[in-house]
Amino acid sequence: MNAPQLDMAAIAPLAFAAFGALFVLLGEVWLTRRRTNEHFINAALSVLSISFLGLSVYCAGAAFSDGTTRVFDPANPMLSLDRFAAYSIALIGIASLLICFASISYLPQVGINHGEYYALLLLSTAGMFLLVGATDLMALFLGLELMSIPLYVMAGFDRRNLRSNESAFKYFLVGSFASAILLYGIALVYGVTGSLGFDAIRAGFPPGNPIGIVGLGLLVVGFAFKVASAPFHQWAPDVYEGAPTSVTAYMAITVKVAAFAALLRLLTQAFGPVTASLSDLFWVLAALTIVVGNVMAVIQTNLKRLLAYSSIAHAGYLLIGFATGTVEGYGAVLFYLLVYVFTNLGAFAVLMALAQGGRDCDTLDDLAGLARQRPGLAALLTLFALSLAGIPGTAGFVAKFFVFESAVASGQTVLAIIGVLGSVVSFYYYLRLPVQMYMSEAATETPRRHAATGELLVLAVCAVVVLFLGFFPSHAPGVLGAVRALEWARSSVAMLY
Amino acid sequence: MAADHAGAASSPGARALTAIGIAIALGFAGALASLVPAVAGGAAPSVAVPWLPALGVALAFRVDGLSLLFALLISGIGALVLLYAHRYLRGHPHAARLQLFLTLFMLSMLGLVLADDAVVLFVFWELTTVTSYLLIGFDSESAKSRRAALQAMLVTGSGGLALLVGLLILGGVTGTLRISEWIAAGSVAGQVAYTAVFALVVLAAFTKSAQFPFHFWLPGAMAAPTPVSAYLHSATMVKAGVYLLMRMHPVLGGTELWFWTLTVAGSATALWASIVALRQTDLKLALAYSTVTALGFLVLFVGAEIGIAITAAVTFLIVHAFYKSALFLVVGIVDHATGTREAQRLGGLARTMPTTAAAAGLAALSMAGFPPLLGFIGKELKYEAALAIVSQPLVLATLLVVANALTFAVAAVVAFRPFWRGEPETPRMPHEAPRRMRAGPLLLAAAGFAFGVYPELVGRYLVEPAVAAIRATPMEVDLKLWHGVNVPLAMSVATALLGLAIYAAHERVRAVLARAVSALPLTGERAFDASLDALRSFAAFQTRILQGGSLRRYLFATWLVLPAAVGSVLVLRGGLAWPASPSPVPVYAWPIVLLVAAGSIAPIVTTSRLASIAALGLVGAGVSLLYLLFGAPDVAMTQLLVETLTVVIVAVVLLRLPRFSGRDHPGSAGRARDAALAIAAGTTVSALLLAVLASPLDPSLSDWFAANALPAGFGRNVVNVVIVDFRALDTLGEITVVTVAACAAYALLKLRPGASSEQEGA
Amino acid sequence: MEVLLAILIGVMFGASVYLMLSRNWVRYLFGFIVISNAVNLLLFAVGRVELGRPALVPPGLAAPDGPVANSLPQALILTAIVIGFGLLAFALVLASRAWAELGTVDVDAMRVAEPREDAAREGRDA
Repeated sequence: MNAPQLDMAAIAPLAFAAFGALFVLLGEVWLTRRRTNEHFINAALSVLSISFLGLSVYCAGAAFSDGTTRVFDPANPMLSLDRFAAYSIALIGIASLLICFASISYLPQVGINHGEYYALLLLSTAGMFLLVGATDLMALFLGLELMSIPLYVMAGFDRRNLRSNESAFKYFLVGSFASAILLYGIALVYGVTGSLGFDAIRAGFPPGNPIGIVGLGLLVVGFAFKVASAPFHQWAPDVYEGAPTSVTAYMAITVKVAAFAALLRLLTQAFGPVTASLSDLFWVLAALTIVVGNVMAVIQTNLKRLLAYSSIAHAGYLLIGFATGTVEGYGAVLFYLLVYVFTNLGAFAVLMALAQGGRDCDTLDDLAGLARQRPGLAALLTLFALSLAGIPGTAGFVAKFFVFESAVASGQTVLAIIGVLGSVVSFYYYLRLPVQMYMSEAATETPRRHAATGELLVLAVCAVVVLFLGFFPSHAPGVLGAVRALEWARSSVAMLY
Repeated sequence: MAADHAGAASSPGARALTAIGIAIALGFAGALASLVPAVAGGAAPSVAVPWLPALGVALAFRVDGLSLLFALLISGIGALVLLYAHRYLRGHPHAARLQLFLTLFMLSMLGLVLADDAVVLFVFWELTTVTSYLLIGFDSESAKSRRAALQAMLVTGSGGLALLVGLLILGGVTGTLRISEWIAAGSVAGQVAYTAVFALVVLAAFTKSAQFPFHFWLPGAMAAPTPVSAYLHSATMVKAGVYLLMRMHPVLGGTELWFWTLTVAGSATALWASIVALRQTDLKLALAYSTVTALGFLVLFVGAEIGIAITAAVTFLIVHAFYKSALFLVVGIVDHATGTREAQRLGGLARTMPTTAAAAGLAALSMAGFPPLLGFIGKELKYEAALAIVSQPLVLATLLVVANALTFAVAAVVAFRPFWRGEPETPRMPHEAPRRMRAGPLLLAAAGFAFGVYPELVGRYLVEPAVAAIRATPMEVDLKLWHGVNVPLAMSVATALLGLAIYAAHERVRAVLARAVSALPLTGERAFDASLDALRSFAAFQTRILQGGSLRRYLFATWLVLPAAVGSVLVLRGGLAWPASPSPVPVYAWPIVLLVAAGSIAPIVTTSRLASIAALGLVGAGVSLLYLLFGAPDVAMTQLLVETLTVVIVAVVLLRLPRFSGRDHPGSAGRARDAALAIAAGTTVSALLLAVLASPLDPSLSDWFAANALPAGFGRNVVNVVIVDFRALDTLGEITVVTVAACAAYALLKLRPGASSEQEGA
Repeated sequence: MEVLLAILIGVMFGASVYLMLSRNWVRYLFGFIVISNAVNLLLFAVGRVELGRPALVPPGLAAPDGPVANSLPQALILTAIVIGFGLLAFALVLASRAWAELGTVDVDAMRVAEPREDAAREGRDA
């Protein structure tokens, strides 16, 4: 047969992640045969994963600065590596990489030292890479499944913990359900347009066709499950609370980036002309998600649950950007995701650094007296909490500002006000973290361990990014002048049109 | 909480931070003072550095008359407060922290008043909120102070966010975020968005400046150390709201809405707070409420358009900043020296604390409005303005006289009686304060006196440029101590007499007031508590309803929302359709379809696991027959294979599990509800599918595959070619997904705990 | 025929929704199996059904002569069937493990992670 013209560079990040998983599995077998020290195996596998993810991120970075669009199979475009994909891949890759770093010491601390962890993480990351690069509904579906299945296992990774088991089970039930809805949406869109490729859908979509809009709506709902937007959010707190902290971080951060990025591409590339008819749907989703996430976070005493609701609330702010339907709004979404990654990762990394003796640090009470015992960690967690709340001077503020600004500029003032009210409520629960750390004393005095190098590295990176973007979101002075995060986000979105 | 750690030396850190803070304050004060002549001449030096050029946001700062006045007060009083606080908290373990927070607060406040960009203004606005949170909550062991800090943060913080939205809308309307450009462009009163912007900005100003009904957080904030109260809650932060109103006066002012909102809110605040102030026995609280009174006056006069009202507001702003911070610092000294702030226990302190008494006396005279102090000029101007701004001035004038008389009485209670009447019954032997603590109040009180004697200087260089900036037109201001005998003077005399009478009877008045106020059903404080409680109960309620923890309930909610939403789209957008010419149903299709339908329903009605599994097998086989019937032999084969495997595996696994109980849907009501939902979902799906099938499909892609299968893919089975050639990525992905599922299953099996593994299946 | 198929798919969906709302997650899995079949059939149906003509290129021709069954949905269904099977196999492992560890097949009883209602109230009072 004809040799198809395939551009292998387009799947380089994906391939590195997938091969990385393979190597990690092989490496685990090889190392275990030699009966090496368990901690050494864990560290070695982590470093292996980090190297492969590093290669993926490097490819994505190169593709990003190159700026050209590479399509894997131009005859049947299903996957491409363009500026947008490169931005998202880099973001997801960096987040996964940092989580691997933090896991080196976290996994042994909570006693879940199994080699498959890294393999599953890499496979799921590969799925995300496929998801954000997909330009075809089937590839999108595959990416989503590839991303989700390893997560179902990871959620239940802490085998001694009943919550973890329950978490895995619920996540699977809801996740498979979401897949079915997504597939249903795909079927409807196909039934209307006769095609699955994004470009073909765009060309073939009958304007104003209600069935097609319902199909698109169902696709959005499928994604709404994945990003935990109300009213499809209910699994998230249970699952986030039950899973080990590193997995919760991975689920809360990378999955959200991947799903939002894929949704963004879907809405612009495949449904650009009809997306406006969905702005009401996004309006409702955003408003509900902001209210539900923020209000429910108020009474939480479990930290992971609190962060789960907070991540729901952040999904709501992100959805504001979708409701605007403008390039500025989408650009704000992409920038928000960047900030979201580092702020949340920082917060979760502090919790990971506080896990010890087989137990997670997961209630507010566990934080009492932290300021005296580990002032550095307390200060960092305060910084991340302030950024999550959106206090000026932190990246969180700038991100929220862009989203609200784009909402006001596109006439969605009411939504912006709902977002602002949500932020007011969020002050209340985010402030409980520093209050607990600085103003309460621990009931029992257990000495806290020192943070490990990997954790410190992650924390340092996150803190620097949060502060840096808080002050210089678009123009930095001096040698850092090349860092123009906002412009990157905007150009990535603009390229989709 | 007199923070006396006598004997303990101040830490080097605290000393260094104090020095740095004072240096910054003096540096700013000096630099700003050097700009005074230029600004008085009408110049407005500015600087702008691009920050977010994509959005037109720049780090822009501008010094005009209004900014300059505020900035001078902030930096000048800031230096004195820092000096005072250093001694006040000597030996306190967190003294350094307080100085750091105070300096940060001062910088935020300076940024706020100097900002020329709306976003920068907002950023500094919120930074003052955050730093004030830290300062109020400084005594972190006390639950009261934590609560007060949170309260202040929530009230002023939410106002700040309202401000952001208001400013952004205004930016959208005017096309710029530069405040000086807004002012140059003039009023936006004609715009549609005016009311929204007005409401948001005024909400921000009222929360920050403690206007009724948001006034309650300010007395609560008195939990802060006294220097903090003196600085934040009298001289600077609470005036930020007034600053905002003054700043936006040219843009938003001059309308009926503006006038009435500000006038009513301002006078209500002033009157209410002056009454409550008299009720207090804690000197600090009395001062706090009298601050609320002053803020009410300021808002009231900013509401007006005419020059004399604005002049009164600006002059009174200066007057108040001097005497109130001086009095707060005096109260701090008294507290420090005697161990109490209770008015009834203090007396005759002038003998042991002569300098403090002098400062207190001067400040109180200014507060009460005696000539020749600056306070007298301020009060005369207020009366003059009140007579000028409304057509029927009687109400306003009476109100002012009453409120001022009450303020007069409060001044006497706070600064006269403890020093010159009675004997002290204090916990500690009174003694004069150290020099560094006396310097601040003495200087501030003396300034009130000096400026009263030489008002021209203040008038020309500070008040006039500020008034010009607020009204956006130059105006001559001539402050004079003596205006001749006129109506305002008569009102002043009346005020003094009334004030003396109230002071004479204040013990009785206090008792009456205490009863009256506690009988009030709803105060702002209680409303705040109630709303926080409501939020928490709402959250708990929502959590119970939406987040009961039952997966079934989650799915139920989803199935409720989805068909309803889809159905409404279909109905509202006219999407319902029926295939125009449905193809005939072949006879042999009927039994298959019925079989599949029966097989789907069977697991619902049977409690036998084996029967259910058999029914599922039936569904799979039937579906594969349908595929075969409609020209999809490959799919049919795969389906049959997979279905057989599925049935076998499911049977193997499920037979290890317990039997069905038949009570899987709780109660008959539950069954009916679930069934209704199921029927709704099914109907929606059918309707959707019918609508899809009613329109023709664009066959180009499929035709392309069919036409190219042989030439490009070298295969005669089009489906196979599609799978292995045209959509090979799908297939590769599919294989990967199955592999991943296998890996995942393997990992799960491997992860099982040893203890409970005997029931493990598959 | 389209109408009949549409109604059949509706019935399958309805049945699976009812099964998925069951407290017993074994029934949920049954619902999952039925809904997979329904979605596949739906994919098939939206490609428009024609009786009896497989998408084959007859010997001697370069392309099928006349209309044949739509090949693209068939390819998609094949993918979906296989993925569905993979998921189901995984689900079964997960299910039996959950039974082994949680000792229940009642989804309502699976709420270790949940604040029960009294706990939620405590949280509010705290």
